[in-house]
Amino acid sequence: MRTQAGELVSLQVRRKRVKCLSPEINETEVRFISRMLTRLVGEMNATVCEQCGKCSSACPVSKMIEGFNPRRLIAKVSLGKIDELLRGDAIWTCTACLKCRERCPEDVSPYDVILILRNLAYRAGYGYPAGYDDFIEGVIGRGFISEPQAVRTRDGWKVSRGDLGLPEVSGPGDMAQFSAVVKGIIKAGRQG
Amino acid sequence: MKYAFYPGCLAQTEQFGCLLSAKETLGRLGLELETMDGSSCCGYRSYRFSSPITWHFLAARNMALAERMGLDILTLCNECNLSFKQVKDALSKDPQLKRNVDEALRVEGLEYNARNETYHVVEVLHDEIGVKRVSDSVENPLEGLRLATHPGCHLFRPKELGMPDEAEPHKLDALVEALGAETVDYPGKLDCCGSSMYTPDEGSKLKVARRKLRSVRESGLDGVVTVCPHCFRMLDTAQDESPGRERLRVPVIHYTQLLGLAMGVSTTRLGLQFNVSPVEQIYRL
Repeated sequence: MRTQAGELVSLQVRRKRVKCLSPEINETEVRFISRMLTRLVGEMNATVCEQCGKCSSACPVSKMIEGFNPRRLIAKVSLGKIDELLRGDAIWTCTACLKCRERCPEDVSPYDVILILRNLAYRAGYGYPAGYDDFIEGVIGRGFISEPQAVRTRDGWKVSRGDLGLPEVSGPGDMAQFSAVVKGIIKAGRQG
Repeated sequence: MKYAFYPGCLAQTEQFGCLLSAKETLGRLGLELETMDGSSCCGYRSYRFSSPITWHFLAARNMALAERMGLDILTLCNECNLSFKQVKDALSKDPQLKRNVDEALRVEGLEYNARNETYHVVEVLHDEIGVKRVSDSVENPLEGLRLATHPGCHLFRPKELGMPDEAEPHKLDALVEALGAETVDYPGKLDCCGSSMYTPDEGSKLKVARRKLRSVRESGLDGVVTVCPHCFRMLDTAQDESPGRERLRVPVIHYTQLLGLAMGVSTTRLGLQFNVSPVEQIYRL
């Protein structure tokens, strides 16, 4: 498939193999969850998803990125190719625009399936795109995904919040307590 | 009309044009924006995939802070708005999840009882202030401008959550037209800006955005209006990032900046010096 501009590109996700000292779930669990998902989506496919492709034709990403196609992704789940999906880059390329879910005549939602697969990939230690670490650690460290930056104007001048008369960002308050609570709930989520 | 003001991460830390112009214009329309002391990220980008319960906790924590102020939330961000709505919905349906979140909230002496609502700036302007009052605030009508609007996915999807706009979004268009400009449909208007690819996919993150910008340019329009800091960053700041490509040079302006121009506010106070796209083509027309 080519786009009108003829510049369909391949996925270029910069993957980070998470140094999961102890993956939150082991291979047996991944296999079990995969079977459950396959059965669930398989049944859904047999009776519901007709592979009509409305999701893919609506998807703004699959028009531009080779290797991302929500219809094929649902088919792969129903064929039990979960491991392939967890190892691949496609699940990280969805922009979560929800158009597939809106267009699906049968209420199958590739978006929701992708969210489940992302969570599974993360928890089972399959790796995730490197950039997300800044967000995960940023929130624990300062409450926001990024630090207040000095930004440049169109003419190249560097300006900070202070230069603009903006007060300092009002963060989570007692940062030590906030970080401890966030770390605690992350840990609780793993055990849960 | 007083709200707990939740700009979201991007507007506070780097997209100062979105923040400055919102403060400048919403104040002139009589809205009181109370700073939410103690607020943090809503959890959507940071924890939704890695630790869903942490996402639920962070969103509930911010909603609880506003609840303690006795106020509804006004957010500038489509994504934060979706995040708060999804979490409010999930907590109302899942008592076990609610108990776990409550337990974590208690450590900081907070509680969340779902007594307040979250509103996006577009619905406050359109539904509460009203198009007429917005129009009455105009000093310099933006006549002759033909603009594309980019409502952004999470202003209207998913429809079952009671989003700020309807499935065929029209509120941003009405608000732009209230300033004297014309809005024109273009192919792909309701498509995503691609912002969620900003982090995971360095190489091709601009493909989705550029498709949209090219459509605006090929439709012969003067520029595109955004209402979410993530969409704004994707379409404005990132548009010339990929090396060796043709420069698209499509003016991108945030709605509150456009509103400020029509109100006669100086470009500096609206943060227009930070738009990377050639936005001066819009205000020098």
